[in-house]
Amino acid sequence: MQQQLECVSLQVCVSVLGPLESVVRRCLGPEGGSVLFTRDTGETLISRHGQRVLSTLHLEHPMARMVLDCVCAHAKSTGDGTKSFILLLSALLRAIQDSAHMRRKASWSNPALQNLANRLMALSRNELDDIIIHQVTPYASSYCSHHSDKLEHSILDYLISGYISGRTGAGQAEILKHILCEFYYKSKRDQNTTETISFIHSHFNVLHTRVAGLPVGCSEVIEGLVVTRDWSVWTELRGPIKALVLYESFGSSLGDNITVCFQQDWLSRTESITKQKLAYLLELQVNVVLSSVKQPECVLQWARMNHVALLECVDSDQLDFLCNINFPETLSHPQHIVMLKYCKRLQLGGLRCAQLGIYSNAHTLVLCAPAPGLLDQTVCVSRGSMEGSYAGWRSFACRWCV
Amino acid sequence: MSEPLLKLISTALQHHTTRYSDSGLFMGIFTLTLIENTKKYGLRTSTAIKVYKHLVEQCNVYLKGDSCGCKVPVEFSSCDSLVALAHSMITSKPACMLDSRETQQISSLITQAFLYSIPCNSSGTACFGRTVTIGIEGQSVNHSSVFPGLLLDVPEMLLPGDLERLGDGPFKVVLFGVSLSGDISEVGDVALEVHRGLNPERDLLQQLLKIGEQVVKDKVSLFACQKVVHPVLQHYLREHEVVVIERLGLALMEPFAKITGARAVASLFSLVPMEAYGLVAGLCFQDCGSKKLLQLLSSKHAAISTMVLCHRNETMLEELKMTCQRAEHVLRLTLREPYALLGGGCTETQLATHITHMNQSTAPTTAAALGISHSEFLMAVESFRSSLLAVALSLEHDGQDCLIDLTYGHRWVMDISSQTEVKHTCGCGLLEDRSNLEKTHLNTACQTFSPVFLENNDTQPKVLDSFSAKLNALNVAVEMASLVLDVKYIIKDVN
Repeated sequence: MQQQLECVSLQVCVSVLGPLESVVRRCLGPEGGSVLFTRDTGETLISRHGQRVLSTLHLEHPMARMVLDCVCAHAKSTGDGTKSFILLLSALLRAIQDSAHMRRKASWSNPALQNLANRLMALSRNELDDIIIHQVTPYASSYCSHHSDKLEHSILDYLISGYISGRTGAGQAEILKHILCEFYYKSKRDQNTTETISFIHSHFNVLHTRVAGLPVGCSEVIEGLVVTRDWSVWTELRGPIKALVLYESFGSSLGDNITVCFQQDWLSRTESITKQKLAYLLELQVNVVLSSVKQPECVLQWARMNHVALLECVDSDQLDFLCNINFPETLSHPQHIVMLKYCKRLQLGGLRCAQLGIYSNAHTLVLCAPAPGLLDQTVCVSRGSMEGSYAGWRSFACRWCV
Repeated sequence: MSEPLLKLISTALQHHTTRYSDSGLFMGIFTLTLIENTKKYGLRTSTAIKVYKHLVEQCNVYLKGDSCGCKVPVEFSSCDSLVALAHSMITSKPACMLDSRETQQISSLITQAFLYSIPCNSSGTACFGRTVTIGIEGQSVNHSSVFPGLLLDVPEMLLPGDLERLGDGPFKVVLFGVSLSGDISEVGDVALEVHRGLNPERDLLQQLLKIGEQVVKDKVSLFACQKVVHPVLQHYLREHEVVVIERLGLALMEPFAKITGARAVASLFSLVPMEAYGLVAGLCFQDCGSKKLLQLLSSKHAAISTMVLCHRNETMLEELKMTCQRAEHVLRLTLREPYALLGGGCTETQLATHITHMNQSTAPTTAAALGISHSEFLMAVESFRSSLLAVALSLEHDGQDCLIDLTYGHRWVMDISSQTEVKHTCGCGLLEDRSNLEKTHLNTACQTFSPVFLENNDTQPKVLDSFSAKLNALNVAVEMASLVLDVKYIIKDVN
């Protein structure tokens, strides 16, 4: 493996950052646009989210990759400001390069650069905090001068709104902002802000549904949990409802390389075992069965005969969420019983889904977009806004002891 | 489709047509002309996006409001509007190769099937019915028809005499959802170790015959199975005058269950429960052209009907089937929103006129509210207007002139070559030509005016478009155009 030795100079740094800056620059601000990435496979990605755009670029130069790592670390701790980071960094390096003229030199020498680096570090460690606290923060504090419930709401609205406007087009920003705030408020009720945002943030995968083919304006917030599967067997039920959560099939699960010893009445015996298990469920007065796998035909028949609603092929993450949120009476692994408020059928843009009412404040965010690429962006931005709000809220809460 | 932006638009278009089955072309043309016009008028993209969003909201309000001139309520008491909707859907698909008489016949068949599928007199929650479509190749389109109930292929060895022997209905029915072939390999992909002296297949067959005995004892007349039935069982049942239908298929299980009220049995080793039996009101043979089919009539007013479509060859038949399904989908959408929009380009012209007129007077305030200049706002409105009119223009394929009248805002086609004194109507057929109706060419600038709202009109429009489909197409088109205009950088991964 050949190792290339490259002399790192300020010139190199500026030229490596140049392309990154030019890509990110076009996405910044209210007049900014999006970047469209395409692959030969036809996959497209549209984004104006700084971190996403930079992560999607294939960066070969080690310096560029190092900068990207810094961007990601910054995004992880603050959730925002990645484009500003790159632009400030580029501008700073260019200013240093240009200031060589002021010192009447052609360029900076290495020892001089090291000296400058040390002085910059000292500035940031000792003096930058003071400057921000005394010169910048007073402008922000007019929003934070009193602690009241109303204040909490508006801060969050601004956090979400700021995050969204920087990452989606003007057309969608209004709608997404409104829907995300609605999602937050409906999920909140008695909990405090930090708990709510942290809850939404950690369970976002389960608490959102995607619908392609409709305009973004059709996005909405629905009560309870939405499962993007239609009921295999449906009956009208009135709550409260006992639901059984299943992670495996009722029928005899036959793996590979099993030799079944065929005795007399084998088939009828397996059927009767299944029947016994099902009869036990009836004793428990279970009205709904939620299964993560496909159940055999006899289970469907049993469900139809006994007016039990059955939902198959549910995402196991959603089932785990249901179990955890409900403090179930555990029967025996792998079966759990949870209580549901209600069960409904739902139509989302032509897709038939199931809606489960749960005894908690969780709501589902239904995100719509005309095309899958745009849908990915919308979901990503929504998820990110929760992350960003979480980070932003944490620092706000720390500083103002809310 | 190599150009990534075009691919994005076409994906959105495909998703829209999957949902709504109509107005896909409208959406495509409108999106592309919006983008083109924005560039042509040299508008800043952020300005254009803001203005288009504002205008599309106005369109939504206008179209959903009460005094909308291009909206026609769909009355379910008379089927004229439904037939007109179906007719417009079919005429927009020339690949079906239907002449005008055939088009009229198919439109009324579609409407008939749709009306059959609306349940009536049902207690509890009404459940929407279904239309099953069967295609017969090689026959003239005139032989197509709609039958209530379900039509199935006639089982082998079933003769008219057998049906006569059954007598009059209702007949008891049993439905099996599992395979009755007696095949041990159904168990799964495992190795079986069989003890000496055991014959699993024989045991299974004995069990199947037990089922047969029970079914005969319970006086069942129709035995249906989703999959294959063992020939010995079939023979036994036929001897006892039970009609056997095998290989029903998964697609027909649900309509069959709805028509008869039978519940599919999945167990081979227990008695068939009494609740699993269903009833069918009648069984008879039906002739469709030269093919014979078995008709099952429901005793429960189940909203199931079968549409038999005939066409000369397979390609045209497939196209016709798809068109009919789409047309029925469009008719179903009217149940949610019982309106239709005027077709033939008249909605586009009216909408364009109305929007321009509305924004003329309020331009300064709106522009200030959006944070842009007055002239930019007006240019964006003009771009929106000409995009709408471009769609109306694209409807004319024969190079004739397209005109718009300055009173009602409808679209007219100037037929220069016509010599006869034929009463000329507008694109949708609602208005008749009058000598004092001033018109001008579509793609010229003209005085803005507010289109006159036609009240209490006796004539019905002849060409209608789906309301939900067009509204969604309008919204999605503006969103896609905004998305494409927003893109400032394209990075291609060439690997």
